[in-house]
Amino acid sequence: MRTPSDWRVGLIRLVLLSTSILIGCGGFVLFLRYGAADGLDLMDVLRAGLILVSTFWLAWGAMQAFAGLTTRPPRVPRHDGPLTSRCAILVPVYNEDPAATFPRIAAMEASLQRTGMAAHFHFAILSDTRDEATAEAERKGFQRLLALTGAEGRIFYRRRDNNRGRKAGNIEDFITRSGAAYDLAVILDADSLMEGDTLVEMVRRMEAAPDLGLLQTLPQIVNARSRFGRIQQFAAAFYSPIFCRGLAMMQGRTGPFWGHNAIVRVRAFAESCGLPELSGPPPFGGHILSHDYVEAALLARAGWTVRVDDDLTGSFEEGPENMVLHAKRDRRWCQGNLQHARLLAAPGLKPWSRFVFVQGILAYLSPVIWLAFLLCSIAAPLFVPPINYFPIEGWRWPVIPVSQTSQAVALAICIVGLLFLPKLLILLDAALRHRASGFGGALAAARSVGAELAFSALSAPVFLMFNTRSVMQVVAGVDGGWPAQARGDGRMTLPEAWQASSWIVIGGLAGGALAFLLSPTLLPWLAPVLVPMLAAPLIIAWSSAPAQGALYQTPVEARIPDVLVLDAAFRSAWTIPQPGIRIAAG
Amino acid sequence: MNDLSGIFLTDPEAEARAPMAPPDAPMAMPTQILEQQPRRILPMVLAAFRPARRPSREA
Repeated sequence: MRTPSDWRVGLIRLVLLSTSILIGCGGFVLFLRYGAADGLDLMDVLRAGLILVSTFWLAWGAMQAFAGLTTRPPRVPRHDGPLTSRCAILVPVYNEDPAATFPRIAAMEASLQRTGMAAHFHFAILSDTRDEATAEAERKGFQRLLALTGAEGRIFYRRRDNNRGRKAGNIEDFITRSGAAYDLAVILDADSLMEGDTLVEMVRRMEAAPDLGLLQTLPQIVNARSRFGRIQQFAAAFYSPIFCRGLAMMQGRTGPFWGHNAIVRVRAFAESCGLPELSGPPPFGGHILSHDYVEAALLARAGWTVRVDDDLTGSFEEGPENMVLHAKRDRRWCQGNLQHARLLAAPGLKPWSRFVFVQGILAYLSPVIWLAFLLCSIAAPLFVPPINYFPIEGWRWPVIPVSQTSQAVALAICIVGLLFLPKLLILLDAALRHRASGFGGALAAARSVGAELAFSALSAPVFLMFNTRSVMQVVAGVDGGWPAQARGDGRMTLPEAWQASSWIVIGGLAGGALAFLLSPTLLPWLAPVLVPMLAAPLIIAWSSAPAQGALYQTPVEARIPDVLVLDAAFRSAWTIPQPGIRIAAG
Repeated sequence: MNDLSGIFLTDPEAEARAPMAPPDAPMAMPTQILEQQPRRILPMVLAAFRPARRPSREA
C-alpha cells in the first residue's frame, strides 16, 4: 500500500482540523448568544468555553467518519511467492486462563499450516503470570499445546522472574534475549486471533516496504455473547472500518499502534522503542502504561513509517461482556492516556504524535467537561444578575428581554447531529455500496443501528460517570495498578449491578434535586442524562444478559472465518482429558 | 534481508537446557530519552564566569 505524499496528508489534516475548530467556535457563539439574553455573566462565558471544547471534540470524531466515507476500501492484491523473513508471533499472557489462550495459538498455527508458510513463523508465549497455580497450568497447557499441534521447536514458552515494565517490558525482555533471531514480530494480546493468510500478508507488506517499522490491523471483535458485547461487536464491525479509513487518510507516516494485532520490524522496534520509567510516582510517573501510543511515536521519531492498513481482514480480538468490565478496562486506559501529558514535550517527536497524545487525553477529559457543563448550568441561576427592565436612560417604557431559547435548541440539534449523523451516513453508505449484506441486509443493519443508537444514548451518561470517576482518581494520584483482564460471560445480577453503580444513582438523585431547587426549567433538558443515571443498575444488568434474537449480525457470523472454526475445534479438544489428539491443519 | 539461518538454529546444548524457551539471540534495546533534563539556571549563569579549563599536566 502506498503512503500518500506529505503535503496531501497535511492538507487533509488542516481541512478536517480547521472545520472541527470552526464547528466548536460555532457552538461557542450560539451558546454565548443564548446566555446573553438575560445578561452576560461569568458563568455564561465559562459554559460557552466548555461547549467549545466539547463540540470541537465531537466534530473531530464526526470529521474522521466523513473523511472515511469519501473513499472506498482499497483492494490490494495479495501476492504469492516465497517469504524471506523470519517472524515471531508474541503472545504475552498475565494470569490468563491457558484453556482459553492456548487453543487460540493452536488455531493460528493450524491456519498458518494451511498457507504452507508456517515454517517462517514461530510462536512465543511470554508469561508474566504471578499466580503459581496459573503458571503451573500454563506449563502443563504448553505440553498439551505441543501435543495438539505437533509444533515442537516452533512454539516456545517462557515465564519471567519479575514483571518489570509490564507488557512493554515483557516484549522488551523477549527482544533483548531472542530478537536477533527474527526480522519481524507480530504482537498479540491473550485474546487475539489472526488468520494465517493475514499473518503471511502482513509479512509480505513489511518485506515490500523496508522503511515500514510497524503495520497495524483493525481487529474485529468476535465471540460476544451478552447484549452489551454484541452491541460493541456490531459497532466495531459496522462503524470502525469507516472511522479507521478516515484515520488512515490523516496518518501519513505517523500511524497508530494499538498494542496488539500488529507487526513490527524487530530491528526498528529494538533501536527506537526501549521505554524508560518516568520520574516520579504513579499514576503520572513510573512505567508507561499505554505504551503502544508511545512506541508508535518513537518509531516515527526514528524515521520509520507506522501505518494502519484498514483493508487487512482476518484480525480478531474479544471484548468486555458487560459495562462494568468495559469501565474497568477504561480505567486503565484513562490512566495511561492522562500519563501521556508528561510526554507532550518529549524531545524530537513528530507534531502529529504530540497531537495523538492530546487526542487521547481529550478522549478522557471530554466527558468530564460535559459533566462540568451540566453542573455549571444547574448552578447558573445563582450567578444571573437581576434583570434591568429600563436599560436605556430616559426611556420610560420597560424593555422585555427576548428569549434566545431557539439558539439553545439549535445548539442541541447540532450536538445530537454530530453524535448521530456519522452513524446514519455510515448506514446509508453501507446500504448503497452493498456492505450491509454482511450485516443481514440493509433493513437488518438499519434495525441494528437504531438499537445501537438507542443503547448508546442510554449508556452514555453511565459511562460519563465511570469515566469522570477514573479521571478524578488519576488526578488525585490513585494508581489503578495492573489488574489481570477479566474475561468470561460477564453476566451480572441486579444486586451486583447495584453494587457497582449505586453511586451513579445517588449522583443522579443529587443532580436532579439540585436542578429542581436551583433551576427547575432545566429539568426537561437534563432528563436524558438523569434518567439513565437513575436506571444505571437496570441498564448494566439488562445489557449483561445473553443476547437473543437476530439483531447485531456481523459478517464474521454470516460467514465464519477458518481460524474461528479452528479455535472452536481446539477449545473443545482442550476439554477432552486424553492428550495427543491432533486436529488436521489441511 | 539478513540470512538468519545461522543464528536461528541455536546450538543443541542450549536447546537441551531449555527446550521450551525461545532461541538465544540477544539484541540491544537502548532506553530512549523521553523527558527533558531540567535545566539548572544558576550553574548555566555561573558557567560564564568560570575560568577556562586547562588540561591537566598528568593527562
